[in-house]
Amino acid sequence: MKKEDFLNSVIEQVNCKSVRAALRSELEAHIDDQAEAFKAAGFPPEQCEEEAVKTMGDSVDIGMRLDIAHRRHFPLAAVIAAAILMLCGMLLRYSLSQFFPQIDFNSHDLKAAAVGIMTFVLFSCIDYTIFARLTKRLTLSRLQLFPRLLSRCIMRSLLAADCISPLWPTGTEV
Amino acid sequence: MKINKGLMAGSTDMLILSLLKEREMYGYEIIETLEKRSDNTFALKAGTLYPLLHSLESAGYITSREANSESGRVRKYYSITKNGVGCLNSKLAEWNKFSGAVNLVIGKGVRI
Repeated sequence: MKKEDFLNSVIEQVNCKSVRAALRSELEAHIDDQAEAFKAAGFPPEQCEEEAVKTMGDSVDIGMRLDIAHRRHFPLAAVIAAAILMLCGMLLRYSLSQFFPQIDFNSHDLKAAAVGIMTFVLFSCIDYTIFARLTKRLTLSRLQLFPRLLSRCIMRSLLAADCISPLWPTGTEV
Repeated sequence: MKINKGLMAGSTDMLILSLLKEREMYGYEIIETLEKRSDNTFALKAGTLYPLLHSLESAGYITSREANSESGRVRKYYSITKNGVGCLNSKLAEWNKFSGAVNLVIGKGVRI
């Protein structure tokens, strides 16, 4: 098996896309190190890479194990803790509402708590590494947009202040 | 003589953590060092090492950083964390108890 085929086969098994590139380069560096060692040991240069790939083991098996290592875990303990704290808060509010009439407690509070818990669960399922990747893209696009926006703003303010006259014809003046 | 995989499986993470306690290492270096130190007894495959390294990293026992090697290759260096040292110590204690008990049973009489 060739190095590229091996790496592709490993990476295909890993579901977490954000770690794929790093995994690929790490395994590639390992194969290159091994190939170099074989070369130094006197192996024919054309066989070194293939032999190095052989020492890696089964690509699908490695990929599946790496997939397990990078599988995201649902933060069950945090969700349970949040639910318990919310429940305690509601109980406290209910008890206080029995003594102080100005404290209102009704079914809307229960609905709000349920929505809160659901939002918490939803946000805990989000892969936050996506923001790290998007930041770079957003920053680049902003950097591209920024000079254009800035020059447009300056031009508009100068035109509005009558500091400059437009280069294009603005009317049918003779 | 080949070592039974079952015997090796339970102690691989302890061996890796022990090596990383000495200094930071990259994957290939870990396999090489393990092989040399064990007089070619522990020939760990990359397919076993990397998933294990990544699991240890997810658990917070080791941490990694990328750096350029002399050959210009980007390598991922792993080092042990404070939690990792704690985990290693408990694994070593467990291992000492286990090996001591095995030795007692097979008649070597070594008490740890």
